[in-house]
Amino acid sequence: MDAFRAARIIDLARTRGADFAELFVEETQFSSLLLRDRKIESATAGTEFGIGLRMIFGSQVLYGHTSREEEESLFKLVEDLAGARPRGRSHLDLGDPIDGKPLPEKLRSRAIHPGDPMLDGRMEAVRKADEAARAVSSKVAQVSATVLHRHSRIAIFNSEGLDASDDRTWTRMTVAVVAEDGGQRQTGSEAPGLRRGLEFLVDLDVQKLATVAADRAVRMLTAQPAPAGEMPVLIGNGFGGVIFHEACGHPLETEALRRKATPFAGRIGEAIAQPCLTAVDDGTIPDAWGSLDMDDEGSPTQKTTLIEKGVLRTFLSDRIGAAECGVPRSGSARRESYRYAPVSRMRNTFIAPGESSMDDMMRSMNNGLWAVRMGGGSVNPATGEFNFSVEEGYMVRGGKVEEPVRGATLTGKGHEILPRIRMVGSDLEFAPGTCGASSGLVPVCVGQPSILVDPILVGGRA
Amino acid sequence: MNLNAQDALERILSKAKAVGAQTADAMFEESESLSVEVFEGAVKNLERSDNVGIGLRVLVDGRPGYSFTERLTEEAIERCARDAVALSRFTDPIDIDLPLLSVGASGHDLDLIDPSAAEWTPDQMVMACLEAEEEARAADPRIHNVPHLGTTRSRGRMLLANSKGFRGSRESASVSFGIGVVARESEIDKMGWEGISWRNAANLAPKAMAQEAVSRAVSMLGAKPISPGKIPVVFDERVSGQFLGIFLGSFLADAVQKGQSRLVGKIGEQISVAGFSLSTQPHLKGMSGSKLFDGEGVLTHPRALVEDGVLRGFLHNLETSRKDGILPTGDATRSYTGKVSAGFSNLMVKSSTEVSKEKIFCAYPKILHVVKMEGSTACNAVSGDISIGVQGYLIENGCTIPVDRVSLSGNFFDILYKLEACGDRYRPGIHSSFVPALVFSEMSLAS
Repeated sequence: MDAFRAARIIDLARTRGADFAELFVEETQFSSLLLRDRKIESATAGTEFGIGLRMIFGSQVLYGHTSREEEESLFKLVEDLAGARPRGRSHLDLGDPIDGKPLPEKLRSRAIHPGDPMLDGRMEAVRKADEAARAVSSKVAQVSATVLHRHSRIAIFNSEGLDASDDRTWTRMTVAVVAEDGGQRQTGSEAPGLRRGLEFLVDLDVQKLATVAADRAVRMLTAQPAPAGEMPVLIGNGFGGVIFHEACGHPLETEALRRKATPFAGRIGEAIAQPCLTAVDDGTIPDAWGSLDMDDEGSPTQKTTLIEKGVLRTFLSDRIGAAECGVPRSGSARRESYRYAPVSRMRNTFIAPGESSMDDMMRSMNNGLWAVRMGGGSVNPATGEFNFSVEEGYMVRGGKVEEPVRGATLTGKGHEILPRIRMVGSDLEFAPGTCGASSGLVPVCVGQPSILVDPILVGGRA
Repeated sequence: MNLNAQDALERILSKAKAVGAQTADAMFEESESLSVEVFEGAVKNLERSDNVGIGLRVLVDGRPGYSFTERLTEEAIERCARDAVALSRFTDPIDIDLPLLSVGASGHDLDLIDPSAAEWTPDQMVMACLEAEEEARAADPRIHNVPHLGTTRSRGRMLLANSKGFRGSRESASVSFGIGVVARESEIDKMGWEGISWRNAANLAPKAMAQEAVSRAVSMLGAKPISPGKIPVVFDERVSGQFLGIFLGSFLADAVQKGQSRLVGKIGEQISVAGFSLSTQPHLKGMSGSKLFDGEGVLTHPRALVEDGVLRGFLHNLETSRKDGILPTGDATRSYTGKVSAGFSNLMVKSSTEVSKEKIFCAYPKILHVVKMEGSTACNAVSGDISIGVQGYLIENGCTIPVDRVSLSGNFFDILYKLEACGDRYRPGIHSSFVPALVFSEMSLAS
């Protein structure tokens, strides 16, 4: 797609009455290699290609996409969307045009080479993971390891004259281990990833990765069922940040605010957490899994402080969200692919490091649960209700770490839990993940230091 | 210039052979949809999607290689064939014979398409949403927000071909409508959902669905935990399929062969109460999982995996059926982007004791009626360990009170023996999970 052809399509959209029109052109190469049960089970390569057309009439968003790039298909798409548009029109001032200025060099992510899907380094990595995990214990019953690689080239054109392009590369390795002993089974997994090409594997300590995952699975075999009830919980660093992401991050997106589906509506400037809590969403960390050079509307990415010393500062916004909700733009418009209209999404979201030591937090907790590593979970953004599982947990009594426990879940409501974060440690770590919402699955990091939440409802076995 | 579906399939198969594949199969998929979302009386989003893609599997000396492309140009298709063949050198060999027989003239009509679905206009779609929103807001003063309200019409086509001569195709179309409302009382929010798909718009009842969503939200207001202990539990038909779904991976032959299923070696043994049956039903009229041939072109047929409580078999693709030395069963699943796996076509559960929910509620002095599950990640699909947050109602001596912030635990393979009865209906609309309400005599509840 060249700028001239894009201009002809955008012109037609404007002629049909759109206040704003935008084309998003994407070609993505995928590759994956999967080892399971000591065998290379699949090797896949693929090309995703398509064009997304967005037309904005007032606050109404019309979006269409196609994999057919002939000009007639795109003209037809404009006509189909304009023809289907319901009558009636609201007014929305979209504000200043996007200037498309690139991010300063030092904040950009760097891929050395986008990655050859045939590169054999991946074979060695998955085989090594399998061997290392199995070497941990004879109780390791199953190992699966994958390397996923994605290289995207995108171009964005809009009716304000924007002509921006970006090259994005991601590589991730996942190792999942199942340990078994006398009918009892436990799993452990690790899944690091970066905005890098396959050279990411060169620096990766696969041996350690697989050993950590296998150790956890084996260790949890001796775990006892977790008790239930309200108690203080020390949530571990890194992936522990998934709770903040789900229960507080999503309600801080303008996409929730637009639907009045957030408990934080109208609370900018108010204290919503203890002064020990500062939370940030940062798209500018070089090479981090959730980083961007520009967002999916062509705006430069940013570092956005959401909560500063307990006080709500702003929401994460895309252009429409910012205009409708009256908050500043944060360069957070994201989409999985050309199949989705962009909306405000998180990038690398984390709780900033605080000053408490692990000892202080353990002592302060006295009796409770140490959730070293969180598993997955779910949240209902409209009501704030969340539910997360604990992959690795220990009971703490009298400030001392005791037996491992399994099957624990943490439940509550995001806005109610936030003020109960009483202490924040200094051991900030990030963990990559895939976040799903209305504009599809996007790579993000969650992150936090160890934090003490007191109390939180633990669901376990009666 | 893009190739059409048939030409693209023929081209990719012949190119794959030319660059070294002994056999190959390829799937073409295309889909089109139009969806509308309404918020506070105005259209927020209108989306039109148009997707095509082709996925290839080659076998070179038994080694599989996979590739796909959404560009259907000659160059992209040639690259796709070369990539798949090149990738095959990484993988370990599998032993399969692709089917020869073509499907298409079988005369079977599964009613997967109703031409009138496409006649549902955007104006009618918007109108349905507006009516539903008005109905929801008028139904109860505690309805505070209607954040999720939308409708979609879609159609799709799939063609499968292999180098042995198999050719098959399938077309479908559907409409769906969904509404999520928030009820608020004393600063507490509760959400109620309803969403149903049909083959045509005539069956959609947006107002009735709005009322249902409202009553679900309002009835949960004032919910609180109840005291822990053992309690009989009925999973409503809204969630029973989702609940079973967490553990159904144990019925995949692939999991069994890799030692990742507790059902290994149990064929012919009792694994549940007498009267319980669980089957795959590919030939149900008009349902989402209905199909005449599977993802590898094998003809499908209805088949019981559990019959009268006895385990009879597993779900197979060509690779796993060959390993077990049985005939192909037609359970392979596949999309153009992915590798071949296996799954239920339509899952169906039956019990010899089928009673209405009202009768179930009366039959127990105290029973927990579960209508919502909150994340299954603390459940262990392999070991069967259950630890799951739920919401619902405690029905005790004729009184119903809403319950939340409780979790249920137990083991899936143990509670299969505690199944006392099934409900007498499936959830409405078109879908692929025909599981009635399930009554278990006892589970552990924590709060």
